[in-house]
Amino acid sequence: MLLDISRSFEDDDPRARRPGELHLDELLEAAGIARSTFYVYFEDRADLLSALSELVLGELIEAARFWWALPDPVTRDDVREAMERIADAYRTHRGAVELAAGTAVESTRARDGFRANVGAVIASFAAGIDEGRRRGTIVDDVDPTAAATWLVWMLERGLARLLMPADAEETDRVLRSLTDLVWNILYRDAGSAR
Amino acid sequence: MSAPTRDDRRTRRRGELVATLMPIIEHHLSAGVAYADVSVHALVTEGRLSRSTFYSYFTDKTDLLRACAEAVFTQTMSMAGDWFELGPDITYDRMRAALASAVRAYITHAPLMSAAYDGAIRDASLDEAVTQIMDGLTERFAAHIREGQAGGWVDPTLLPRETAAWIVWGFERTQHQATLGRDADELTQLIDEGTSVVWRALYAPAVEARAATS
Repeated sequence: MLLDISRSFEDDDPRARRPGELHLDELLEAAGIARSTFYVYFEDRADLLSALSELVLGELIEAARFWWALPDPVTRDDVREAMERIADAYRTHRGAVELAAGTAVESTRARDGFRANVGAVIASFAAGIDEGRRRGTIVDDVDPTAAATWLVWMLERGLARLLMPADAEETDRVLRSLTDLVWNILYRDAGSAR
Repeated sequence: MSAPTRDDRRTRRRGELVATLMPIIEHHLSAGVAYADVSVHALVTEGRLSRSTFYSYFTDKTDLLRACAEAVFTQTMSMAGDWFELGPDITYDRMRAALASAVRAYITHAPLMSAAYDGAIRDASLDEAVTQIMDGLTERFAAHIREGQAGGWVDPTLLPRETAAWIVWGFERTQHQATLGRDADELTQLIDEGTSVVWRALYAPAVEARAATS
């Protein structure tokens, strides 16, 4: 059911419509779900949104698996491919991500829920970086938590703000600059990466 | 010099009201109250204003938040100055000191900016104000990157504008998450993390290459 709701946003332009304006009824209608069915699984709209943000941020963790498994020696093209996968995951679920981020201001509970979900992504990235360090694909002198925190928060709003409004040419520049930043932070001078 | 016009006086009075109301808003936000739950009644009572005064200068609470965000932005520009003025003699420690002063100044207003940025997802007028603020910061930071590339102390392969935009958003978001209940140790950690990441991202490749050839 969550996936149905998430998918119902795929063609929705979040910039054209403010997430806060979306009512539960509209959400359910778009996803083709009956109210009675909904309440079997969720307490309320906030409960749904928290589950939704957990789901889409989970997809981000999935999309990053390719990134953390990059074999030695890691090239700049590999990193670009990893960033493309992250961007694709974001594009697919962007409506749901925006919705979750937007409703995080509605209540303390929603905010804490959203932060906890983002925290899980950060922990997963930090583990990926740590693993890369052990395998020698990522530089030693980077602090996994510091880098993960920055990367995740940079991506969280940066993808929405920089990637979504961009045309094809600008999209390339946005992803190239992201690749270069990630390269400098994690890979430059690491192991046999050049 | 011409006499102040009615518009000038109005702008000045609006600025004064922002200066009065901003600490009150920040007090509530720091206590964990969402901006949506801070009432106009509370604001005018604590600020010793009449409701009619409030509404003659602000269309609503969102308008006030937008005015506060713009005021903070003006201050941000001056406090980010240390960072933007870093030059060829840049070192890790100098960058850390510049970042620390930006963080320490910004963090006091972070709950308010957080309310503005989060609100921007839901409100078109706030979104426009936030976009202007971030574009302004990005332009300044991009100029800093170009200067560093010309001077050989920023990685020359980076695209100035897009790189600046990523860093500005990264800075902004990491700050916001760090706002509530940060003690001094955590603040130091935030500064150390930011320094280590941004140093590697922008400056290290060029500065190390320069050191290797000299």
